[in-house]
Amino acid sequence: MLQDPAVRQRLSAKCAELPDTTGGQEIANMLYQLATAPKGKKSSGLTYKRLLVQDRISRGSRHVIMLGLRRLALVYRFLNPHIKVQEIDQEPPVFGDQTTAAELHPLIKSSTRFEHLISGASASYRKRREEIAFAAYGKETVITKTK
Amino acid sequence: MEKPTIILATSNGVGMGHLARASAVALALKEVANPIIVSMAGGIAEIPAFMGIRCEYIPGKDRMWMSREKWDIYLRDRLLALVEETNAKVLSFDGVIPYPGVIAAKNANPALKLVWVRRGLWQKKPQRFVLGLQSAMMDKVIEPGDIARSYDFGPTATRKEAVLTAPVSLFRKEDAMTREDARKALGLDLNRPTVLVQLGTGEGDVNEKMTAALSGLLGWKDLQVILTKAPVDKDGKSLAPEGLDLKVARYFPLAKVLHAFDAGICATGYNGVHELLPAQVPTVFVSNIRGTDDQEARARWCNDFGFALRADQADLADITAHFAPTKQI
Repeated sequence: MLQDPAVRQRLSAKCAELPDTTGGQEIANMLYQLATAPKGKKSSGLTYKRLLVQDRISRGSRHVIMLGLRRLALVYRFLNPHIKVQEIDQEPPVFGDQTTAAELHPLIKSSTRFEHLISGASASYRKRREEIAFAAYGKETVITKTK
Repeated sequence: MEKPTIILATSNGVGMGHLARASAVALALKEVANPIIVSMAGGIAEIPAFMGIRCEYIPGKDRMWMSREKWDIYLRDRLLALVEETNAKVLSFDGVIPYPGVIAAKNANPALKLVWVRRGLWQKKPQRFVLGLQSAMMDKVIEPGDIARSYDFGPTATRKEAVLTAPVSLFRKEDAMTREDARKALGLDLNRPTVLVQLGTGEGDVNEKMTAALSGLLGWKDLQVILTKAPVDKDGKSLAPEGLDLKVARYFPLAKVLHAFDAGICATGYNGVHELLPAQVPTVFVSNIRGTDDQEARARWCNDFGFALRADQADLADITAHFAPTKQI
């Protein structure tokens, strides 16, 4: 029915009644007010700890379910083995401050780890990012993703 | 006064909704602040050059480059490092669940103001049980408005902590190209009928929906079909039937060129609905039922009130029939 010009005309005309989508400006105003306000909300250590505990419990129950599913998946994979294997490159991560889609897409999709920096980043930021990457990836890594 | 820096962080959700909202907010902020977008979505690659906004890609935990526990710490440290580098005052997170690393960043730097941009229309998923605690950690919770909000019966619908805004969209009448300019920008024929297809690919059922929708377009005379990603499965096999004139177009933001299209076929995500309908593109929605987003509720609202058509996502024949010339409403 989408091929019917009368249907398309009716839908298009109806959409003219929709409200303006000005929410982006409203949110921007709220964020700006917060950014220029003197003080933020004091974070509650107790709430934070409760959240961590809740996350652990939630993750724990999911873990038990996932163990069962994993066993089922292993049986299935034994019967239907993969043909291709995609590996995560164990080379050190690539750092870069690329800004074009042509440069960024292949880096983001690559199997080599990519550490993206904002343009104009300082040397001290780059150094800190290297420390963070080193702590996360370590010296030795294992292949964790297979297709 | 110096412009404050505001970091807009997004998760890697289903579709481009989080990133599109963050982009819309960043554009509105540019006059008065220095917005920076950080995201786990690959689509962030499109933003810096086209929008003139500084960006950083952060690999999500789904990349499996490290363990989940290490990723929480990695995310916290990356956010804190960026806050220090840019002297950011506010960290806004647009995503279904604020990751532990996001909340840990606030806990480690109490001067940082943390905002949760929390879309409504949730399905009843387990994530709802921690809504209260997560909201309590925020300086502000903002719910971007949804045209289908009256059909929201999910766990966020009755909560009181969020400030509700108008819908957020990258589509702006004043910026949108005319039909002719948009077609020229996309390299399309100026006169032939043109349909935009924005359906996902990947899992089997999603692929089947794509094939069903494209099959329904067969027989539309002189039609040119524009897709935002190639209609192929994981092995590169085409999901499109023979006989269609297909073209994959990469254009960001797509909202600028929507007047090029005579019709749309789209998943019922927040972004698709709030771009296509304000642009008055006649659309059939085919919901993706994965994730927390209640796309079926949004599709029903659009259909019930006459703004768009809804194909039954569970019925491939119904999907095909919505695009064929003979189906009666």
